[in-house]
Amino acid sequence: MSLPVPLSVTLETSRRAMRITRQVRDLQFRTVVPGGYADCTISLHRPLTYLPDEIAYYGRLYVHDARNGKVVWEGRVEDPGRSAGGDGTVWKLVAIGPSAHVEDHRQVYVMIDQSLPNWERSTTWSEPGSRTTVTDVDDGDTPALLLEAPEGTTVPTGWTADMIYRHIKTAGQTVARLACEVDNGNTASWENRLVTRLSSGTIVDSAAWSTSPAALAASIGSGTPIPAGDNVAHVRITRTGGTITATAASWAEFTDVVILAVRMDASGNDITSGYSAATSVLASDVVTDVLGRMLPQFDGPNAVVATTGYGIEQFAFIDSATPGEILDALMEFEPGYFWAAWESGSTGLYRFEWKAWPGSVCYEVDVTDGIEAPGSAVDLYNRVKVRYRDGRGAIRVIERTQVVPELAAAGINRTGWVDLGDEVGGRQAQAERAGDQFLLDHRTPLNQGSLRISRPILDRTAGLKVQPWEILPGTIIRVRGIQPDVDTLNRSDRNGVSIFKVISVEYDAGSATATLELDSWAPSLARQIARLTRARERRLRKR
Amino acid sequence: MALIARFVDTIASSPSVRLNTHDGSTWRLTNQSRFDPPPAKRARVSTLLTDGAIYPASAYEDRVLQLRWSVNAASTDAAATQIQALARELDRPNNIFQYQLPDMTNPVFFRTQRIGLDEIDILTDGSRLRVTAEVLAESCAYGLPQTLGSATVNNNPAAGSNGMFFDITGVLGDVETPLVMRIDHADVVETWGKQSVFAVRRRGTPSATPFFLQAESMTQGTNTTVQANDAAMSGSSNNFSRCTFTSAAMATRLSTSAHPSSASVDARGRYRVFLRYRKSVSGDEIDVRLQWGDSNQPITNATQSLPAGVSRRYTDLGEVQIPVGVDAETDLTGAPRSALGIHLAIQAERVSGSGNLDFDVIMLIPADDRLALVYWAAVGGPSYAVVNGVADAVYATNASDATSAEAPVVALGGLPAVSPGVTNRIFVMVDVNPLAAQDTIGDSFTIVPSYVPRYLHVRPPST
Repeated sequence: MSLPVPLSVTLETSRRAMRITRQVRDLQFRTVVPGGYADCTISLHRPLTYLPDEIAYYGRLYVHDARNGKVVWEGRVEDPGRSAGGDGTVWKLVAIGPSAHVEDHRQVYVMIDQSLPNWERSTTWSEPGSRTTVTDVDDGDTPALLLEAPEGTTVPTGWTADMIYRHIKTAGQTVARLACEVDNGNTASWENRLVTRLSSGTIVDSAAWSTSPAALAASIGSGTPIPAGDNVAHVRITRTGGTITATAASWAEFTDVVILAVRMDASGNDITSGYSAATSVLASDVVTDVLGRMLPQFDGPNAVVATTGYGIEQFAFIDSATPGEILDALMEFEPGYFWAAWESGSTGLYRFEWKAWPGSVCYEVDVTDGIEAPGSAVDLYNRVKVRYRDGRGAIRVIERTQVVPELAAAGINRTGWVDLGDEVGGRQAQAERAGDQFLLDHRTPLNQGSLRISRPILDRTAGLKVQPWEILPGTIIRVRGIQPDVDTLNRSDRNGVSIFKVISVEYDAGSATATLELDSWAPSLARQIARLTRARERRLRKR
Repeated sequence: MALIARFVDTIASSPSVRLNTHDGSTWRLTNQSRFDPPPAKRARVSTLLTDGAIYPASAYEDRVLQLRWSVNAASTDAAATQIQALARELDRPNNIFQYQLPDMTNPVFFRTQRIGLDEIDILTDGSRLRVTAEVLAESCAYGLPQTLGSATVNNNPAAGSNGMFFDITGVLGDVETPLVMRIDHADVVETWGKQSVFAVRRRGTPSATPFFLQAESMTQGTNTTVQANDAAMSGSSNNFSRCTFTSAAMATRLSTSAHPSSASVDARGRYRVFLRYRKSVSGDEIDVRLQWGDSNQPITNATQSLPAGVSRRYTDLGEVQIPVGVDAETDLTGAPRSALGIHLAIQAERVSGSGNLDFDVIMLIPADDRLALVYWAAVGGPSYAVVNGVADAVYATNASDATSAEAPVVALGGLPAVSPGVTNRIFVMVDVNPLAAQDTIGDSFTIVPSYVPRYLHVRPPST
């Protein structure tokens, strides 16, 4: 085509909705995954002596396709910069897409916690002479909560040792399930108890002491119900018989302690059933909870949340997290998925999706308009070490391996590093999965390059020819004109040579060109600094 | 007829003259003046991977009017007065310069930009002056505004005339020009806030655009049968289809192997698809979606959940392209190829409930030129609603064309434009609000279209 770019730009505030297409000096916008609409920049000539009705903090900016009325980009004005100089008085407006909403809020967040250091001794319910510790069981490397009456202690009827979990309360959430296995030193007149509490406590499960390990469990809405609204949990031992002097066998070991919080649906309603056998959560369930709990600007009820398959056994942010950090952590367990927020609907809420990377090529294009494809080997790894904290709080490191033909041929071993921090590691199986996912992503060279498109291309998925401004990230693109391997036409996943993931798309109306970033972010000094800063903040927060 | 070269206040046949710069006595526009057409600016993409370059976008730059006058004043003071008058006109942020060559039938008008006095070259010879100015103007010159006869657009695609469209032919000018449509405000206001669609097809034979497909003419699918005439539905005789959801799961309820049924160059294009439907039980949860393309490997558009209500409404089923996928648009001679019609299928499921779903008509609105969605305010009062492509705005006016204060009207997408030398078909959907209380076949818009012809140079007598 060789006509004016058919995009229209509209600003909307509570005072005015104004079409400003003919007045903008430049227009650039960017979409990314994860995230969706990222940012948009326009410049307008307006006086500085007053605030025009169409410009306001958090005013909406829309870019529409004039051919068909579809939203091409949408967001809110966050940086209405003003300048005066050789070009006169210019407002440079930077609008941020709805993805910014995931950083609007920070709170403590618990879905499932099997980390025993997060339990504390309850001084209110524990007798002064009682002992409560986090330890390992003698017969294995199994973390345990040890509650005991030290040998020689006088133990009257009702004597109690108690450990408490408060983080669900701190998070503003409620307890869905509490379960464990418990072993005792003797079978005397003692009782193991699980207690939950909002104000007064409820014994939700209990059993007399036994020298054979036995399970205790309670869930909301199940046969041994946790009362709705309870937000504090206890594990407790209580003397039920007469007064004795404690022996070396006056102990209880609580292992496999798992506590789950009540999840919300995407509308923000508590899900009050389905926890009775749960020992893990799905990433998709967490996404739904985050939508309903913390992201009111997203259209939760109409969001598309693809169901994931991996059961996450440890997912608790007791030092707080934003929804963005939570979603990032979920993608570490499910790197085949991403989230994105797009245009607003009739309710004014933004469309949200959590979806899997497509299993088929979407765009077909050639390199005529320009490509840079570094394809650096620096991102090839055949080994990875994963650091995590186990249930006892001890730091663990495991190693995973894979075969990378290029490294094998060169006789080189390269080891990557994944730090799961304190929040989400917890279990060896999870650490192994995170390591395996890292290796999968580093089996073939990441392109980390860019592709320019200035002409219509084929969208195989939609059956349409799309213009450069219609190209979306979160898709797979096949590029002709690059050395293909014999499998190029049959493959649907990234191969680092001619099939790539589209990570971001930036469109510039001045050059009528879209620039795609492939496989991962193109290296830049700003991104390297941001990555290092995030890594440093995680290390400081933990220790 | 003498040359006309003067600054005026409006683009009109008898405007008020602000400064006549060719009055036959004091001012004379010399024949060294130039009114060159505007240059074009282009985005150019070129690499060594292929010969030549492509131009993904282009637009016209502002034009420069090179005006040369001789001023013959009675005295030096009188000459200074004339220059002052000129400076005042050129200093205005915007101005209009009317130009008409001798014996030309019609004038053209240039919308000029402000220039400073330092950009004016003045040679002085006592009371005689030679003045040269390079005046910036909008890229196109304008002809006299053209107001066309009103068009009554019927809200029924099967209407005998103007069934959800109207045509504009004989457009004057050299290039496309934005369209202004004045609509009776009462036609667009309802308590729920109507949402109207305006789209344009102005290539080929617009009357051959395959822009609707009656449900009763399609192959009836699972639990779906043609029904007897209902005056609330479009078409004659048996004029809608009903799905009873004996099998409630998602299934094809209507289909056609090819729409349009014959290959055609005018079928080619991108279309936004709307389905007119009616539920029988308000609270039923019913989902619908469109499948299209190749019946063996159809493309499935996003699923739409129909809102509560038993009104006749439209739901947006997304976009289709004819032909699907790769399209070699022309043959080796450059002539356009015909495009075969595409498979279309409406699938529906009843998630919960007990009622039926009636299908009336599928609309395929051209979505490859200009398409605007206008969200009208749900308040009455003004006389007219104006879709103004010239101002790129939608607003209301009273009977005397004064802008009326009203709740904001939002227009998304591209407002219509028309082109000379072709038939311009403007498609109109009165109300696609998915929550409309009722879409009525008998509704209509009365539209008065107008436009201002645009010229790259000057205006030939009849165009």
